[in-house]
Amino acid sequence: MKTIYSFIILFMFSLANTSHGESLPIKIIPLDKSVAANFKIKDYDGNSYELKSSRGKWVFLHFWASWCGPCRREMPLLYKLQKQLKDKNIEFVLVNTAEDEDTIFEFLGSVAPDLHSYMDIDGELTEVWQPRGLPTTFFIDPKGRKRYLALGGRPWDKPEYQTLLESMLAEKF
Amino acid sequence: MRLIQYLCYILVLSMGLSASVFASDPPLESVIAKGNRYENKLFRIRYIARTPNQIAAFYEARGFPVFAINEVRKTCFVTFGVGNKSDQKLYHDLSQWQFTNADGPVKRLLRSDWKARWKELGLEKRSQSTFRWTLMPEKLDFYPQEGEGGNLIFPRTGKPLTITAHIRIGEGDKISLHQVTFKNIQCAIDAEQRKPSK
Repeated sequence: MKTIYSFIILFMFSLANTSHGESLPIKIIPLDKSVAANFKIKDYDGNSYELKSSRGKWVFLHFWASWCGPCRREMPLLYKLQKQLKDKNIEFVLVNTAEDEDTIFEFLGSVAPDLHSYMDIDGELTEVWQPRGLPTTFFIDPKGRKRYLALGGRPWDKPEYQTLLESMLAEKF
Repeated sequence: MRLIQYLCYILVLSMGLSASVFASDPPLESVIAKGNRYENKLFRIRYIARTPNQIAAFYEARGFPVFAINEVRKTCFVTFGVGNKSDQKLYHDLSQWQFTNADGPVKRLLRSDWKARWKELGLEKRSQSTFRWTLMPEKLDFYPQEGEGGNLIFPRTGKPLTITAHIRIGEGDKISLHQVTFKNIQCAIDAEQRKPSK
């Protein structure tokens, strides 16, 4: 009987220890919760952003380039997602990998004029973060820890991704 | 009681022996691809040889200067893509692949070769970064359903290449090894360079 109880307790513990359950949507990878190193980056108007300024909020850190097909296809969805979550505790930080401001401006102007992106001019920040390909999104939690990686362009409007975002944003810190 | 003890020893010993038998090399699947692609239930792999014009157009559109375009035009670009169809991790390591032609092993142009060349030619860091992103990752563990790819670059010799890709899937006692050989890979040439057929 004792064994059965221990088994049940262990099972319950393993469930409780897995945030958002086991059913992560396809190509969403849980990360090791290590604290993300701070970085500073500028946009095409010269405005700076520093990761540590987003403590207390989730960060949707998205690496992209205009020459990558999946990035092009995902941009309108990102724009919709950003609009949908504008009052939520999440900040969208788009980082263009190694393109010039004219290219970025022209590209965003044609696919999602209201999206804002920072510029990793020489690609060094991208090298540090080592996305597995472009596009890649990292989710950083309000404590500044790397929590999830989204591989490639994701259909953020699909129910499973919406559920993930909702459960992330409902987490208490 | 003694007898039971002995039987237990024998049982434990035999389990150990059978475990060591099962712990031998994982199964290797070796295939020669028909054409430029191969697919089984665990993964897919394919390649496309790019013409100098295609490569030049790609980098020109990314703002690469003429000297860099001329440099890439001299070489042979083969774009490979690998996709993990399994529910386990797929391990990719280019150092395990083999590249040969009729003369023997062929040395591909590595990231370090390009880095040195770009430094010598003074290519700006931004373009160097873009260039690196277009190369096939040297080493990567693919998550289930993940697909990645990129260019492998060789000196142009006019001799067809044979490329053998090595892929490992799974961990522990669920490892399977796969070897896919692509023969007769021709470095693509521009249409205007092709000899008219008789």
